[in-house]
Amino acid sequence: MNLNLLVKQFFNENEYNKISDRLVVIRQDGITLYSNYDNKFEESSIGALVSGLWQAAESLSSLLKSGQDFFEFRLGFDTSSDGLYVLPFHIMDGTYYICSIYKDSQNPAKLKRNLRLLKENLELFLSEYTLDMNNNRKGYLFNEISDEEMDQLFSFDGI
Amino acid sequence: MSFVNYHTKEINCKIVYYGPGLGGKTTNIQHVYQKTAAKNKGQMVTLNTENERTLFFDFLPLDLGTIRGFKTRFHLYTVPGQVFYEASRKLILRGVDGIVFVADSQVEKMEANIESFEGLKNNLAEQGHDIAKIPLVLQWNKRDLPNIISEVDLEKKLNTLDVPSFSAVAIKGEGVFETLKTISKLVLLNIKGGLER
Repeated sequence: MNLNLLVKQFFNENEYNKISDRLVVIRQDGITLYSNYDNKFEESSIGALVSGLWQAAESLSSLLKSGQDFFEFRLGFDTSSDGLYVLPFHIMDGTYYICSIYKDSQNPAKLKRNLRLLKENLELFLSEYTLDMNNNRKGYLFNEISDEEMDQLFSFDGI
Repeated sequence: MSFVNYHTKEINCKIVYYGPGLGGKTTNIQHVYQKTAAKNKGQMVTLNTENERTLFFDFLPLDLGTIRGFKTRFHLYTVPGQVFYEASRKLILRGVDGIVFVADSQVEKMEANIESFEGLKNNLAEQGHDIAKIPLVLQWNKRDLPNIISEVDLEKKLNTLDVPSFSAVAIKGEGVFETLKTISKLVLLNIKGGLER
């Protein structure tokens, strides 16, 4: 099964997409797998920033104790009503983050608790499927690409 | 590691601009940002110091268009060049698909270029990458300045892997898109996972 589709299905079927203004699922390298709003470029920026934020926090925490397992950690940056909250999770060989960005929340503690439950449910949901991580696909996606095709890709600029 | 969504036919790739401090990494992606139509790009994210040196990274999401039915999105990152930001450079290299090494052509920067290139090799090795196997393009930047080292010498000292290299004056946009186009092609050709199982 395709991971993107499964994650999307999970959020939409359970209406989990409504628990926060901004909800994103991000790969460790910053690529966004899912977001609950439609702005491809903004979700890319959030992906890069959240991934960098988590990894920087992980490195800082390693200074205190090496060999730490960070999957039980949570990362928050907030006031009493606005903020962001990040949780890591693991699927097969990959690390992912789920991040909520919220504003004017009446009860951020409840929102955070819901996000933790959501993460557990997502892990459980995904564990029931055999995920297609592209590992069983053979060879390369493109065996050759012509200069014309590359020119076409870059046709937006002023070369 | 690139991410291919076969269902929605989308390719996501991560390209990192690496090199010594003040070499022109940020200038490269600023030029790409300025010359790209709004519909093809997102906001450029910059995490800078007060004097506008890169503190953590710059980031630019770029939609290039479609190749054989696959939508391509490139995530361009720069690393901070200053020597004391080694930890940040390591983090940003995670999951990298292709590297542009931006060298400063000035004679007095040769040592910094070599040191940075050695750092790149080591940081990649720490993450299990062999620099000889990852898509890599070299850019000889600041070719308009006086007191520059010859391209022959740059090739001899830095291009031991015989990868594609380009002269550039990034501040004027010269060589910027040629470099990006070449690394993009190398990255696309390196995506594993064909259509057949």
